[in-house]
Amino acid sequence: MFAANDLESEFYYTSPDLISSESDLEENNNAQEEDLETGNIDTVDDLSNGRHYGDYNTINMDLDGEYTSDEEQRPRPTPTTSHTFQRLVDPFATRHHHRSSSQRSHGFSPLGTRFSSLRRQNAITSSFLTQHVKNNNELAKQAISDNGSKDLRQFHLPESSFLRAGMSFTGTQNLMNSQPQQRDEEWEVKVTIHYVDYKTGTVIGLMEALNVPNSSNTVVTYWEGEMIDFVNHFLWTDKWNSSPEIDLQHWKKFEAFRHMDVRSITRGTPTREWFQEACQKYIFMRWKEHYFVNVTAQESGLTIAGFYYICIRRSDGAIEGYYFDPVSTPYQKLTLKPLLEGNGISFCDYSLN
Amino acid sequence: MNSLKHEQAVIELDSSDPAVRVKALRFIKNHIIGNKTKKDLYIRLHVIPKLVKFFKSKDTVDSQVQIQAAIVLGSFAYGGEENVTEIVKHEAVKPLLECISLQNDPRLIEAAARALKAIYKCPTADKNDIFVDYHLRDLITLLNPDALNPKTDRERIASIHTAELAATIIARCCDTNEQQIQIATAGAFPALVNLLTCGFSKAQEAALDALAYLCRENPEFGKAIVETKSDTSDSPVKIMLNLIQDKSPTMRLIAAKCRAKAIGEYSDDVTLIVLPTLVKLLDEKGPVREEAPHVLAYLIRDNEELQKAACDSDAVPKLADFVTHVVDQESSYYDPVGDGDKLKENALMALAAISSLTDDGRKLVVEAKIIPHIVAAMSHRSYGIRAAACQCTRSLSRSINILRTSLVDAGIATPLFKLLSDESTDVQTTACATLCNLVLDFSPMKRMIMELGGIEKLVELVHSPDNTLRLNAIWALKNLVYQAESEIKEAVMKVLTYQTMENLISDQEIDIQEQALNLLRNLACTRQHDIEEVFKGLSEDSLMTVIETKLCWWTNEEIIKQVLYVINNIATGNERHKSAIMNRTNILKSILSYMGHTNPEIRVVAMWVVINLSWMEDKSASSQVRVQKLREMGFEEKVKNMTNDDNLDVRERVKTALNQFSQV
Repeated sequence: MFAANDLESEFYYTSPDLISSESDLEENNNAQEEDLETGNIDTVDDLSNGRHYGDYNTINMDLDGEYTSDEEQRPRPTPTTSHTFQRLVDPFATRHHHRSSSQRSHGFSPLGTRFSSLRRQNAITSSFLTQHVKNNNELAKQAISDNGSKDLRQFHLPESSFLRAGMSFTGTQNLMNSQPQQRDEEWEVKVTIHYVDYKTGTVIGLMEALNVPNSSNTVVTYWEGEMIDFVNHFLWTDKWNSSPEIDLQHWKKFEAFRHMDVRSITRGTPTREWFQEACQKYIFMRWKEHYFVNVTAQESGLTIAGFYYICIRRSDGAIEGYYFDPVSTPYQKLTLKPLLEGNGISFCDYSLN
Repeated sequence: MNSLKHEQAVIELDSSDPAVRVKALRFIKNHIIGNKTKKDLYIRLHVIPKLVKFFKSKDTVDSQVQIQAAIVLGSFAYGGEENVTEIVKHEAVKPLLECISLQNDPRLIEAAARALKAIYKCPTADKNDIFVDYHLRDLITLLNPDALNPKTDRERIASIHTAELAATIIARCCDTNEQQIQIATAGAFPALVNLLTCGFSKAQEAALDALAYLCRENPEFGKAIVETKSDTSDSPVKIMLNLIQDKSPTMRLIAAKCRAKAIGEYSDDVTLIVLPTLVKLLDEKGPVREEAPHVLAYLIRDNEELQKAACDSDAVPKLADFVTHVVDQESSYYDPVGDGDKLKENALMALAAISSLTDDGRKLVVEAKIIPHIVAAMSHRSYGIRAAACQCTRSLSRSINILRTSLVDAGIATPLFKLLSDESTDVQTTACATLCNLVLDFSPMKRMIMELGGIEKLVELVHSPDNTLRLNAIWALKNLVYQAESEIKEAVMKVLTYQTMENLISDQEIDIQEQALNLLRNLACTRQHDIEEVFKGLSEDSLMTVIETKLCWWTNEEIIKQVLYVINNIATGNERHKSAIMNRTNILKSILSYMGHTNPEIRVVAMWVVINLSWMEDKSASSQVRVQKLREMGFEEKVKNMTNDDNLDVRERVKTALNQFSQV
């Protein structure tokens, strides 16, 4: 939840933030270019494991005018931009694209030209990424129902002692002001988890905000969360006014994503090796507040229009979160630790009847 | 009153001339069929013992007399429960059973079977006679219409009718598991499955009904029926599915009911054919519409997939319509539960089933805007409706969101609380189960229920003679202290008393033990003050003895898990609390062995105990002593061996524990 009458909100999509978000994308772009130079090995690995990640290449080529030259080398008719599934899962097509990409790296395609071409097109545009995500979300879903992709279907998010009904966390929520002259504001937050279902990837809890600026009340909100388990919920939010770019901007703030190959993020389904490994250390979630519990929306002086990107560390239950709401200050950070009232960690429990 | 001719007829039954007796029997028969007054009159004239005598005396060779007597007895039996009592009292059942033996005149067999069917329709009639001698075998033989060697068409129809009667009698004689087993052992399954293909709908319906009863609450028999080999090439499932698509709604309903009970291994036809058929039957009228929701509820009760499929059909709006629009009938003299009531009850049960396991179903029920009607039904005069309405609220209250919103808005707390004192134990049990969900810390109704006297009422129910009710009551108390403030915990224990909790921890019902241990675990959670209260309430010695006994002597995983959590929570206390555990070598040894348990949940909590006992926050000397002792007992070694545990959570805890050990 965030201060409703936040003056900064107006700036979000205008100057400084727009630049910063653009530069983020530029960064992605550079990373991608770098990937292209070394990325073929990566692609070979993927393929040798019998998985069809070729979609990335495919789409890239479709959207990149530069690669139309490759089309001439293709032994098959050119797929259209509005490609179909069959094409993406067609191992021959994938293999072919892969081959053309390796040809590229062996000098068939001048990389320099490609860079400029990408810059000219302003790199990964919004629609580009959205298109990506749509395709890849579909792919991911298909992969799960598909017999051919057992890995992902068999993946299930391991449980954590810290993510259980009855666990409480305390910490702060931070307004990270982009203007350096302004003091960072923060308030205390207590979160209690009241319901966890790993099967459906559901988490429910209450969030309590104490000493909120410009508000005399303690404000309690009810939220429902989604675990990113790649069965019920995916990295892409696809609702709540979010977009794939916004998802990426926020996910990238977490330690686990920081060193991640950006290319695999834009695949929509990060390589499952990577994701499974990240899930060995963390559980990623989205928490969406639904209503105020103890006050009316008016009394609260806060807004709950946005939602949190959340990451909980398995080793010690530390929670990090970033709030997203188009009309609130960007990157408001939530930092929580398990609440300790005794000399150790105790567990209570209830069961629905 | 002109009863003279009737008295005369009764007298003529004693005639030595068979022709006179038959004439008198025909006279009586023609007067009593469909006429309650005449039936009463003849019973007053003591006709029943005379009729029974015709079957007992050896000199009656004339089967005509017996046939007529059996028809008359049957007619009396159709007159209702009182008449049946009269017939049973004069020991007519045994002789009638003798009549169904294959060597007798087929007409006598048919008449006797008809009388028996009417007698067994009465729920109070004793079913034991059928299981002695060869009667059961005779009945099963009769399920085969060819057994009577019918020659003409008329005879053929009669023999099929007899088979139908036999199937109906069987359906009414499998109240207990024991009876089901005896009937199945006598070979009922193949005979009934064959009867399903006879082509006569009444007999087919009777056979379906009998099969459904034979596997009621008996999944093993359900499987056996599905796997029965019949004379035709079609499998029993295929035959049932043909009947589910029959023209007659009654046949469709009974076939669906039979398939619902005889599931065996789940297969697609249940979702694709049985479920949609049942939903369509909700559009029928009368008894079919009335029973269809009941069968639907039964079919989907434990199956999440089927509940989702029911959500995808238009079942919820139809059922909601029954709950909202069926006119509440005044109870009639003859039938206290009118059709409308039964329909409403069954519809509520179906809605409760659809919303029992998934949020999809719950959302649909909320969207149908029937919660106010459900709440109103909780105060209905029929206990069946009260129980079913309560079951609906129970299903709905399993959604935290609905629990916090729609149910609060509808004001269910007060009517529900009233039902805890209902005259029907069924209603009380369901109400108490619902209450378990309403007293949780995040439920806005918790406070209100406590103000209504919830703690006192629940403690009263803990002492009820009914085990399910006791279980639900202690369950609710456990939920009430989940995440609760110290004052609430103390208020609960003041009424319940530690003595009662201790007794419940050693209750004969294992489920009750588990709940009581979970209650203890919740009491000892979070604050040192709360742990101290438990120590004071039970005394350190008896608390530790309870724990030791459970931990060292029980093997039930749920019990072990709860006991380990009790220890874990105590281990987060102060020095005294921790040393209470450290002083019990048997407890420590058990924990050490549970660290190697096959159940990862048990390993996780055992690891937490180790972490909390070796907790170094205070850097005190005592914590170093504890670590030293744990090390000496082999804990560190054991933890080191667990670094490659299969379970991620266990491995994380292993790292924490090793880190703590390394600091000493």
